[in-house]
Amino acid sequence: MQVFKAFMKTEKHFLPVICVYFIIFCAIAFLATRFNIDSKDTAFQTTSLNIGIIDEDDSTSSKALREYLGSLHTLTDLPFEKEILLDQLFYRNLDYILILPKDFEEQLLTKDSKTLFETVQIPGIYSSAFIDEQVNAYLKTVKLYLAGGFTLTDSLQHTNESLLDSLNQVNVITPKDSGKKSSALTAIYYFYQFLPYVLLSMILCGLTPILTIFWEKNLTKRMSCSPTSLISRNFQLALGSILFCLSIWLLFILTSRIFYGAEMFSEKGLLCIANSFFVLPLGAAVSLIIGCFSPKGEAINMINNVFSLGMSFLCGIFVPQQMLGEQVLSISKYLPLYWYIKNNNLIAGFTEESFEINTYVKNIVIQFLFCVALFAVALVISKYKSAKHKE
Amino acid sequence: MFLHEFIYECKTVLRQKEELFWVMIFPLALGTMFYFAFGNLTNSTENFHTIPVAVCAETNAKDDNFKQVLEMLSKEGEPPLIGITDTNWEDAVDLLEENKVRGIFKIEDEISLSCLPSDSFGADGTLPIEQSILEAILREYRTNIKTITEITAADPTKLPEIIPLMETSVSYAKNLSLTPGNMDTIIQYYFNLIAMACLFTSFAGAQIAIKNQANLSALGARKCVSPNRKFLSVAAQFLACLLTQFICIIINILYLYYVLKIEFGTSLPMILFTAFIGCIMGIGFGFFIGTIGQLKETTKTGIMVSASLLCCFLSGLMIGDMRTLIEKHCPVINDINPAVLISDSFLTLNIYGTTERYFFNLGGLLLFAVLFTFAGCLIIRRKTYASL
Repeated sequence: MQVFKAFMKTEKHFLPVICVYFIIFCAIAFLATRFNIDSKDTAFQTTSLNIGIIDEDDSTSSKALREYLGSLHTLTDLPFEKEILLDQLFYRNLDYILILPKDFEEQLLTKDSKTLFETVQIPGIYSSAFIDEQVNAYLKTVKLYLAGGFTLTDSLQHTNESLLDSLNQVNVITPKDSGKKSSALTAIYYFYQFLPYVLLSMILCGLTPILTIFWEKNLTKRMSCSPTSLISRNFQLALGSILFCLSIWLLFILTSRIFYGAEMFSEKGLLCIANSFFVLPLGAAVSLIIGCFSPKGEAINMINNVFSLGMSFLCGIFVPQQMLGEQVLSISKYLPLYWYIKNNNLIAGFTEESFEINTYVKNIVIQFLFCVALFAVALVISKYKSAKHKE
Repeated sequence: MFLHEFIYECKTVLRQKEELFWVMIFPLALGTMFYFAFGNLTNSTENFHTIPVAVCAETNAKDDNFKQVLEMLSKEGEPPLIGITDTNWEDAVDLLEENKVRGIFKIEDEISLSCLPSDSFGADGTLPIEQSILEAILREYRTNIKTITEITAADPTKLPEIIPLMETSVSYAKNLSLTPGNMDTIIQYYFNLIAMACLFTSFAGAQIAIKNQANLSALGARKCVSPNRKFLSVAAQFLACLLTQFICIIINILYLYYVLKIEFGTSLPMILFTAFIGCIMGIGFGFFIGTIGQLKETTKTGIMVSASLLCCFLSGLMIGDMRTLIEKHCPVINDINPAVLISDSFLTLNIYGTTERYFFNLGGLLLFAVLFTFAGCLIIRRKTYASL
């Protein structure tokens, strides 16, 4: 088992890089779990936004409007400085900026006034439409009361009371299949959504350089004149690779068991684990293909980065699949991780499709076929290369 | 001699594939991935779309006005606020559970709004605010009813006056447009990407130092015994580096601008000028790191990669909110982070144009560049070796 031993000794050199990937991923997963698990109130809550307000009028009416908005949202007083306003809006620290001009109350009392307030907002987004709707509704109600002969103070008081009285009268319908959902399961889905990126990166970092070394022209020639047969050599290399991939995979399963407890071995947890298994042959096949071309150390790093990042961006690991464009999805269907994420979404219920075991198995079979195809490509390339070596 | 050194340095840099990869190919690839991944993000998470809603109206319901209000809202505006599907209760619940509508208005003797829990699975991030808008519509209607009742009770003669006012849908707002720039937050990822490419020019900068120090490379040893003036040699190499690396950055920016059609919100020459200053800073930084100590080349590259990526991480390349978070808790880091200075210069150009803040950022970058280059020159000047 000399080849196997040499494989393992070489692997030791790459352990620090692999450990860095593992530690960073676990730290992020741990923090994300801590932040994500907060039991949300099932009652309806109207969305509270951050509004910047510039009150130049400082009148009874402007104060009443502020009081109403303040009961629904978080208000921040701002000076009228272009740079501050735009900075706050760009970084979405504020969702909307409301400017009440000096003649706000005067215009409110004028019967046919068209413009009562000014806004600085990001055009065409939900929060702008929402606050516009609320402020307009408020002012329209005040105007109705004024037209109905109420005094300004009475109009403002009645408007505030009427609007706040009608708040939160919403029935919440709980979906039929939501009983099984728990925050631990949600965390598990996120863990397994990001897992393929780190698994792929670790396999590519740990396996490709070793396979490259064993594929190096002179070393291959030296080994072919040794008494170890080709079959035995390849068997030992395969054994080393399988052991390496399986240990990384088991390490992550163990980590997820520690993070998420017994939920990890529930039906859905096991489905996630089974799905993630198919990332291993994918990583091994890609390593084999890259290794066939015997790239140098730096080049391996470049290829690994582009491959793992590219696949993760396109298949919906970093940005959820439902938010990717149609065109991107039509390309990513030709990548194996697309089917991995599809399965993960299916288990989690992130898609409109309801979970069916047949669909799950179909997606796994597609991943498996991708791996078979990649291994076939690797074999063809290696055959071609060894034929070239013999020439 | 200057020209000779300049030309040969240009050739050397262009033949170093690893450096070209990190400065040109990697940002191109990452930019393309950003484009595909984030292309639809703002549109699906922030941009307003008509809110689909189911309406279940009983034929003998007393209150038919609300249906009319909803129909009016589904026709007015571009895009309209809501889109209505008339259906029965069972179908409406199915549509709601499938996330095809955001809420159900049930019009019986009483009007009610039913929604899914806002954190339900399969729902995207816009569900809570869409539900809130539907709630605001119902609230406005209820308020109007209450208002009319109160006004009628106080003075019935006012009713003809207020009915037309109530039936019209008005907007009292005047939108102020303070900038023609691109307010989409996704743009900052591209700005940070260019900042990263600028900082990656430090690899080429380090090579200048390594190639000029006799204790670090064989080429350095040969150069040290040549009669050529070191200042001339370093200056020629610095300029050659700057030229070649800047060309790589230009290709990057042109790719983002013309192929991916990223809206920078300002003129292209200003973006290129800012990136040029960023390159000077990157090369200066690399030159300085290259000169310090007798560390191996790989260790120095490691320091530069880590430093560049850390700066970019703090500037928001990986997590968009990172910069704002630091600005809140420790703004001094942002003031001295070169990646922030570069990306903030782009941002300033995009939103405010060439203001004081832009020149302050550029000044900061140039100051760093001068300090690093000067320190590097001090380290490598007049060095003699007893034995190597």
